Amino acid sequence: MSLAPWILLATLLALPNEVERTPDGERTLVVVASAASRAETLSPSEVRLSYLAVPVELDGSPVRPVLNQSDELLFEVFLQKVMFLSADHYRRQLVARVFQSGGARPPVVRELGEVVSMLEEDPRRISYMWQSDAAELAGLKTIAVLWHGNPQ
Amino acid sequence: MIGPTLPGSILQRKRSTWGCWTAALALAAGMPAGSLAAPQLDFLLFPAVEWRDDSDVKPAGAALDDHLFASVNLFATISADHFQFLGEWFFTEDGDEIQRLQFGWKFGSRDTIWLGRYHTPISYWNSAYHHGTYLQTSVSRPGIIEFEGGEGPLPTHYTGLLWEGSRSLSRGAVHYAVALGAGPTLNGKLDPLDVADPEDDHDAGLMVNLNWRPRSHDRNMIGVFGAKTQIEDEARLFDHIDQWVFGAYVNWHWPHWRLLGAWIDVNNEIDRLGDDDFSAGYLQAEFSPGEHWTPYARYETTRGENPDAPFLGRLDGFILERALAGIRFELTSHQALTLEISSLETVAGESDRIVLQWSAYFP
Repeated sequence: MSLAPWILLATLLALPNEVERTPDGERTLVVVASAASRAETLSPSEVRLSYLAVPVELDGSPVRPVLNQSDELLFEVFLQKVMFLSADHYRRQLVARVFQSGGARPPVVRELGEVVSMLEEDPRRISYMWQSDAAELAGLKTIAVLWHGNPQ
Repeated sequence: MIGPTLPGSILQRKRSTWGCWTAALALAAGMPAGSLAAPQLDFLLFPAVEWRDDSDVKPAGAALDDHLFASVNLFATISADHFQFLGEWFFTEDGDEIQRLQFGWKFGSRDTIWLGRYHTPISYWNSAYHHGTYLQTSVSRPGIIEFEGGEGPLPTHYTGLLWEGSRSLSRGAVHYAVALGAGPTLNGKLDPLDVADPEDDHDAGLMVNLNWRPRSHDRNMIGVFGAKTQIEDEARLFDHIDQWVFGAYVNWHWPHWRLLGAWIDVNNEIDRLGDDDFSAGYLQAEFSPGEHWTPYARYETTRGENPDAPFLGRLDGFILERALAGIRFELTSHQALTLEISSLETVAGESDRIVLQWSAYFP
């Protein structure tokens, strides 16, 4: 059996991700929460602190960040442009902070669908994703724009 | 996941149990039960194995074969809205000890009151690293903040109340900690209160720590601290010591460099026997040209000490002076290998030491 139809199908399925990019390859990184969340906005520094397990309150409730590792490039841009840390330094700072003062490390999620499920499950949770993905997913709202540019 | 996960059914059961507890707690606190979220749990394991060789003074503590030392530190934390729990249990081949057992209540947006046994906010090193061996760059701790039960002359644990918080300033932020609790007794060495087997002869201590940071929760900081702890002598050579401690410290990072140091003044007022005072300090420099290698060096010194004094003279292994150099290599994102060479002078004598340590954290 020829593999050509399957290769063609796989190529077509992969295409939408490419056409989401703007012609010059620029992308926007946003913070999202469940549409049911009362959260209105968060500053980039508040997002950074929450991902370092420092308590950040929004509307009287502590936010609960979720690490979205469904896309390698997305995670890399988040670390470089928001946390200003390499992956190893981020993990070490997070462990040091939790060991000293308590709190919990953000759960790591490797499927975008699971990120959405976790946000819908608890309106106190936040995560980050490409704006193009957030626009296509139902049940989410954007509460902050973290970065805009060409990730290449 | 680097954070803990629970299978769905277990998670649901835990939530159901949690629901009962939160309802009870919420009623007790006068809040609507639905206002409490499910708890967040985290768990960390810090194993370490080190091979050590001393030229003269033999290392204190138990050993597998006089050279090999192994330890595991278990750490767990639970947080749910305003409630927080923090526990730490340290194991060596010689025994085990509950290091921390704290129940916290967060109030305002930046303050927490803790009740239980905790690391004293003395200097920077004690609360930042303690038995989380992997977290500190060097193998050894500076002698002046060495652990109680080892050769440390200062209280590194209290059992009682701890208030921690921070406030933003027009430039940067100030972080503070006020500790009030039962300190150690003197039983050959300083002996902190064991929460698993508490005794009633531990007197009270008070400690305050204040530091300034360029941004809230920045790693860079300069700070001062002071403490007064009454330490009862179980050997009854004297009744008790009134120990006053004052100090200043710094922890500062540049892109490839880090500097941390402290200067601590210790005044021991001993009834009938007069004073036993000394000052001690250390300065450690670290250089990280990349992700994997970190060479470092530290110098420690003590001034005004009297090795025959009634307090310091009983801590044979207390390090009066040390010069060391080491190099740390990150084996993986969770494991490190560190080689450290030092020349040191203790109350008992002089020695050269070489240590090779493997340390890690999981998961």
